Amino acid sequence: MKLTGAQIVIESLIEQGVEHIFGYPGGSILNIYDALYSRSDKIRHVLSSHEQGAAHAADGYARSTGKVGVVFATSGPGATNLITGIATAYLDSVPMVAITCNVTKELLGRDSFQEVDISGVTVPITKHNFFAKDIETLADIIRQAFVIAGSGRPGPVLIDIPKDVTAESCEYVPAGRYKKRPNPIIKKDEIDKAVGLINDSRKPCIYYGGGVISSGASESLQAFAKKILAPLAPSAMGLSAAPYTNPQYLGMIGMHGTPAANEAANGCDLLITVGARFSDRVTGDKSKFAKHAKVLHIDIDESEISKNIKAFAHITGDADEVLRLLLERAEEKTDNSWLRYIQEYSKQAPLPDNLSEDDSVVMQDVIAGIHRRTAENTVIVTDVGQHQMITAQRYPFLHPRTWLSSLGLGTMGYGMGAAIGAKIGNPEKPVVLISGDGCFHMNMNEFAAAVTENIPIKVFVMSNGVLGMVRQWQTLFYGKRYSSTILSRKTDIVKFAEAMGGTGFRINKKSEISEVVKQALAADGPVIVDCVIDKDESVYPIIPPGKTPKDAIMGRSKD
Amino acid sequence: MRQQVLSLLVSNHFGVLNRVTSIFSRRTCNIVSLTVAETLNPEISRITILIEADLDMGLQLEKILQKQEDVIKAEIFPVTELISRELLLIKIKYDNLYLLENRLDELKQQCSPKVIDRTESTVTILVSSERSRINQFILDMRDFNIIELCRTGVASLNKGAGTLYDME
Repeated sequence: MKLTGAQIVIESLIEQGVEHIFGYPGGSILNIYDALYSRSDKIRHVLSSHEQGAAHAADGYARSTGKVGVVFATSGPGATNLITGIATAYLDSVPMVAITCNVTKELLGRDSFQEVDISGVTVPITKHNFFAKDIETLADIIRQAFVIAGSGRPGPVLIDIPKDVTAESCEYVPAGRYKKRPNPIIKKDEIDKAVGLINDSRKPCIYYGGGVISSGASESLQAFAKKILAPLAPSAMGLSAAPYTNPQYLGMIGMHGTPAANEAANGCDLLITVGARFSDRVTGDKSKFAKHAKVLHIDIDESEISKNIKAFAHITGDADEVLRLLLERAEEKTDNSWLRYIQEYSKQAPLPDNLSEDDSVVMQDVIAGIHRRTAENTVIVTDVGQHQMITAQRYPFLHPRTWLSSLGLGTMGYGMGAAIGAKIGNPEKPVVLISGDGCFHMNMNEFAAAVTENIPIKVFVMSNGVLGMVRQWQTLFYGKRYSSTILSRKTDIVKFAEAMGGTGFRINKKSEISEVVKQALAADGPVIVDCVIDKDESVYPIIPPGKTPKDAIMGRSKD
Repeated sequence: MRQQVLSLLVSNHFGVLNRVTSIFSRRTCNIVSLTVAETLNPEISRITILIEADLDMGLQLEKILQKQEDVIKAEIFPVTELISRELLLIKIKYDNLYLLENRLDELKQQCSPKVIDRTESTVTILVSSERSRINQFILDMRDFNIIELCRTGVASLNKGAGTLYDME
């Protein structure tokens, strides 16, 4: 059948199983929105307040469902507004297809109105991108984009289409749903070497990241850990891959990680790294990280091997496939003295509590209050900063894909869009955003979109009136010179929620947490809860950047 | 730091070179020379990139290049493992043609310079040789008035019977 380029875009997306698109229209992309209009029975479009919010929504949708998230934007500013969202997805390996339209081919390269070379701009932050200047290849480009975004190590793909291509017509031949490319073939000699190392190891530790979640390896990870009696130490990206109830689970590793997870990495003789990439926030001083251990690195992306930490051995492959093979081949360990040592360490050196002696509110209590009142399958989204790290440290995750946070890029303002996307993708699950007042003010406009589209997200804003994490660094490392970190916003967040058409609550006292959380979760529609906390509440432990767990600061000094 | 050559086979379309070179600039790795041209198959281009980097960086670059959608093959070699040639065009303004021609004659053994264009006051010379010999030739020509030069960067193939196509 003969279709216009715009219709081909929509039909190809339907063909790929797309049911939701996040985006914002504009001049260049009008034809595609027009084609979408007649297919609104098949695809729901969620209109954001700003393209950045739409990109984060596609990201939150993808992380929480495992599907490819799709975002639309127009040329020029529409496209550039996506950039932070695309970069966020790139750094955390999130499958996303961004479709932008550009000016007509005739107008390209002439500094035309709303013209930006977005495929050039996004080169370093996309897994791949396309400039679809030929309508004959358009459908195939869209299919390929899904294959690329979803295969191997996932990532964002951008397709830029000149407006005239969306108006031209050509024959459209329907095709099936995209199939992921086969995973890399696991090399037998790599497995053999790894099995030898595992069998010889007396003190193995498993440090794992987002790769375990994207490959669906939660079960094999835990079964393997059980067989070789290895403690489980996730990166922040790996949180939720194994439940906190697993007796071998130590909590997050790294800068704000648990003492036990860092001790396990420090004391082990074999660090089995699965789908993680030794971020500087994990390793600190690289020369001293896991210095007693051989590193066995398992990753689907070969270019991760020995990128940050030299691997003694490696396996290139899908985390689940590799873990299943290792589970089958590795000898069962019986000596549990190392695991018991680490478990005991974990009991003796828990995360330092930060509780209030009076009725004032601390983040730890709000997070606990949210957990007590929410269902097991609740999706927890955060922004970036202290509230994010305290949530990462404290929230008892049970199921993969219930933890969404911008961890590689550390994008303040990620949360509101991501929560909207998560709720669209998981209408049956409660979605809670834990944010800070700095992050909240970055993309609070998306709350208006949540209200309009009736997306009942529950937002908890940790209002300390300062940029808490930066302030904490100023306190610790910059002699308390609080340069530009005091917000002093006059925003009444409760009134803001109401002004946008949602519901607002405030928590002033610890004794109010339980009841307000209950009301917020029970209220219809989107809700914001303003949680008033002290400006000097900090995240501990903190290993100063470039240092080792030995240098960890465990709490506020008594000066 | 070592001189290494990356040989790439890539899809022959716009934007590919941009993606390839951005991988170097992001890692603050300077490209010493770069050549790109079509292969026998017009849909595939061959890129040859000479860099100075440590071995780990070279290996990392190879792996990152290899995973790009438009890169069909990426291999890194120490310069010594390849046969490489570069082409130089150099324009010299002369006062005494006899002196210049004598000098070129002396250098025949070393790099076979060829005069390919001549005016009343200038000659343009072509040299096709190994990089080091071209460097030396330019030094030798400094005794004359060099008014312009252009080098192509290295073109490289594997030594012996093997090709990039049959590498694992």
